[in-house]
Amino acid sequence: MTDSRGARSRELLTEGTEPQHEATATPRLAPVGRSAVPPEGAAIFEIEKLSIYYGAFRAVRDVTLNMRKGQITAFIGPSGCGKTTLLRSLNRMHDLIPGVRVEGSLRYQGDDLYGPGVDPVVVRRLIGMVFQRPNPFPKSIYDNVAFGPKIAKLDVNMDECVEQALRKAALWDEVKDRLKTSATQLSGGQQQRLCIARAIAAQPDVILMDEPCSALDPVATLRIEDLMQELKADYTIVIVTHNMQQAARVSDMTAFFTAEVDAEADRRAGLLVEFDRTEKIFTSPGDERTESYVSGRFG
Amino acid sequence: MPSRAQFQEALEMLRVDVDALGLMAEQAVTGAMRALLGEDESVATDVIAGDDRIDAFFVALEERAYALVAQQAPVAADLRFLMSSLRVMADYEKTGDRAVAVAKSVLTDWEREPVTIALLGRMGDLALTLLGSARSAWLDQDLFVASDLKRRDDVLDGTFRQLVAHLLAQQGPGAPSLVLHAHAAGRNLERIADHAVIIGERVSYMLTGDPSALAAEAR
Repeated sequence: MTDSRGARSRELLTEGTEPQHEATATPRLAPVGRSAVPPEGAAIFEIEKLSIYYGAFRAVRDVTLNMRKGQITAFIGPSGCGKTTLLRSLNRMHDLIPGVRVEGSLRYQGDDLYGPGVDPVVVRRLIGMVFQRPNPFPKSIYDNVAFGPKIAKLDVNMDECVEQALRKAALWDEVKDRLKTSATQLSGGQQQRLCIARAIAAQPDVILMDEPCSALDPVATLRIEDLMQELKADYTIVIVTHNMQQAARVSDMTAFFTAEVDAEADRRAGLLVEFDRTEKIFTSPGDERTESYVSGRFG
Repeated sequence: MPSRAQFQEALEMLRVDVDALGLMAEQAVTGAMRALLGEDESVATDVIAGDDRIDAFFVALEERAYALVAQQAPVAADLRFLMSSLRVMADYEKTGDRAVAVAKSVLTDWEREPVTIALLGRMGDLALTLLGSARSAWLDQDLFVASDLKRRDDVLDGTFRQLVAHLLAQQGPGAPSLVLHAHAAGRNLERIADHAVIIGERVSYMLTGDPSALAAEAR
């Protein structure tokens, strides 16, 4: 494993020490095949005492948890508990927001994700993101999926890459005859699966999903949930969801966050209450705050 | 009233009604024992006839529990309570069936040999005590009472072994039917006590979420 981890580290790192922020920046090292990732069960994210600040405001306080490869981890909790903030820190989305600061340790496959010289553009290719509202580019279906590999200058047969990503996202059969039509003509559920295909096409290890079904109807939601189960074989998935039944249905592990007054800052900050097997969280949670939240005894 | 408050009230009502089913089962066992001990054999027919009421009430409670699961999607303690209530009500229903079996044996012609009857009487007392404790463990959500039931069941098992040894020593023309019916009655009382112990384990799981209680229940 040492070798492959080393290879992955080199991929994350650029030769210079300054992170590159331009979306068009190219990773300097060639992509590493999927064999380079640790076997199922190995830690893919190791988070230790992580705090995230917006200026002086500490939005997430002292989070420590490990996520394992090949599992679906769900983040649940009330609004303002920091779950989306934490999710975004996993692929350095916050780099794009001025004033955001991360303290503590966040290791991705053993490497410091915020270490000097780590290229956030490479990070975001390896760790993809699917957002709450489907956000296809106003381009064709084909161009949406081809976007990631083109930007990353991946050495792939583009037609095959697009087809494979659309197949994996369970969208191919619905769009194969109209790949050149605009993505905005698809239904909401199809658009969201297109966004998943777009993330997959960039050959990531991890897919982050920020409430991916909140704008979808129950049928489209079910399709995304089924899709997550299929994708689990190839990708590690982290999902933020407000729908507790969804967390219970799809995830292997569940992290419950809450917002409590941070004595230091005298403001409410998000903190991790409990992280355990999903089955445990929903049958016999260890913390009363989790119990109240999942049972709907709040407010 | 907020729907969650209504849900909690419905759970509370279910808890009390499951105990009402437990009371009906307990009364059936008491009646069967009174008939068996020769105090009032006519009670046996009441016990047999009364089982239809227990069954009907059980089905109604089961339907209520399923409706709550379907409509409220319970999790955590609420889920453990509802799943446990389904298990406990089924144990009470089966307790009623065992009481009926004892009552039916009273209506059959076999020799009421005094030592056998005394041993069965002792088993009946012990089974009823355990059943009473299982009811309070459920109703009062009492972990101590719940977890003590297993230990107390050992006494009854010892008495059953005594009964079996005594029956094996029986001779004479009346022995076969005595052995057959007394052993069946003893077996039914032993099973009634087992249901009480299972209810205790189920209450332990419900209160703690500890899966080892589920394993104990299956043994």
